[in-house]
Amino acid sequence: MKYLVTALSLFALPALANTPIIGNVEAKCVIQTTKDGVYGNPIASKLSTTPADGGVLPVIRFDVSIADSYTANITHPTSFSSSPTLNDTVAWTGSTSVTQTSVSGMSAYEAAKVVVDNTTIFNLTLAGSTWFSTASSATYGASKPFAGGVYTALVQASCIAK
Amino acid sequence: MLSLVLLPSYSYSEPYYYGATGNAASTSLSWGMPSVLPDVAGLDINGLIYRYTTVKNAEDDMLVHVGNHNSTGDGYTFRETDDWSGVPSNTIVKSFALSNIPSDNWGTGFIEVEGEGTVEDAVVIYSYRVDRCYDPQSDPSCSGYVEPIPDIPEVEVYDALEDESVLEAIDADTKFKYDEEGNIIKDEEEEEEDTRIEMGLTASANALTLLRTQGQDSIIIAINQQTNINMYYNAKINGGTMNDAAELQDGTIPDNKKALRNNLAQQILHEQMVDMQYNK
Repeated sequence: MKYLVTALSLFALPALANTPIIGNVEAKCVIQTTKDGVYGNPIASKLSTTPADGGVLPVIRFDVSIADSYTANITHPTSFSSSPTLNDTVAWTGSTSVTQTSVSGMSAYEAAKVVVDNTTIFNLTLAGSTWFSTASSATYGASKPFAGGVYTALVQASCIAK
Repeated sequence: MLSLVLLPSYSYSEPYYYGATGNAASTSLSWGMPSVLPDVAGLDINGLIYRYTTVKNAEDDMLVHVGNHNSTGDGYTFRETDDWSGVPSNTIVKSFALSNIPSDNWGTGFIEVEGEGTVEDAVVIYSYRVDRCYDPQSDPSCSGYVEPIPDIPEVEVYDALEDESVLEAIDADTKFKYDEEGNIIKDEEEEEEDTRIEMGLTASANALTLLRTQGQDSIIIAINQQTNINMYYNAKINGGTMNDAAELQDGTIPDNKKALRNNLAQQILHEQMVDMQYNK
């Protein structure tokens, strides 16, 4: 009987609980690489993604679900992320443009883009998808031929909230 | 754990398969759906993707309509308008999820330009879903499938005994006489005449039969003479001699003492029997 009383007193203790509150925020701006770029080598001292030079332009897609809240900041490369050893300077050029849109009005992004150094900024005023392609060119110093090997450079794309 | 054990098990097979068309706008900015969609029953469209590039001056007004008329031609099953007014040329890509609209509802497809400018490199692709059990009889695995019953032709059974022509042709007199060859003997004279002829033929046939027996014997002899039996005489069976290899395991065979005792007993009985003859 003593044991029974003890057990009942245990169950009579007040209950405590920690209840979590979970919030799930979906990304309103998503960046996808639609196509990787390829450097062409039209002359020994030049690497270029331009199709005329045998290259392939990389394509990046920005999916924005709310209008006029983000800017797309895309920076063309100014250095190789991996390459053979280079002992001279490399001259970099590049540009980014709108190639496809999911809304016709997004075509205005191209005319309204702002270029700051190596970064091109697009004001994403409309909801939908926008495809950007980036051209990149690297010329070795004093027209010297690039050393044989694999060269890799990165285009940096970011979605910045206004 | 218990609920997992008690979960009912069942199999489910997807009655649909999916696909996508080629570019409906590859040759023209207007197209008929029968030439785009596969010709199968139970097809409905669940998606559409289009892409085109505009060529225009930025300041020009331009509307591009992409869509399909409905099947009756007095409305639209799908229509989307892109307003390019005041914006420069570019390429647009759009995709739409549709609520499985049956193919019968889709009329002519089009890309129409309103204003200044042109459209190039147009691509319109429809994605579709096909219900393979739209006709349940198309597949035995479909629900509602009924085992087909073949059409059995109705055969009219001919009963000769009900045919008047046959009945008329049947002779009511069933008391026929037949000769040995199964022919009906129509009258007495004919029967007698046949009998005489038959006897004559029988006599000649017997004579011929005798000759024929001899002929058969001679034929059999001739056949036997043609039989080459040398091959049986000349046949050799490969082998040799298998010598007897009897071997007695034990060195000596002892006398059977029980048999000796039995012989002695027999001898005693014999002597007693002999003595009985002399009343000994």
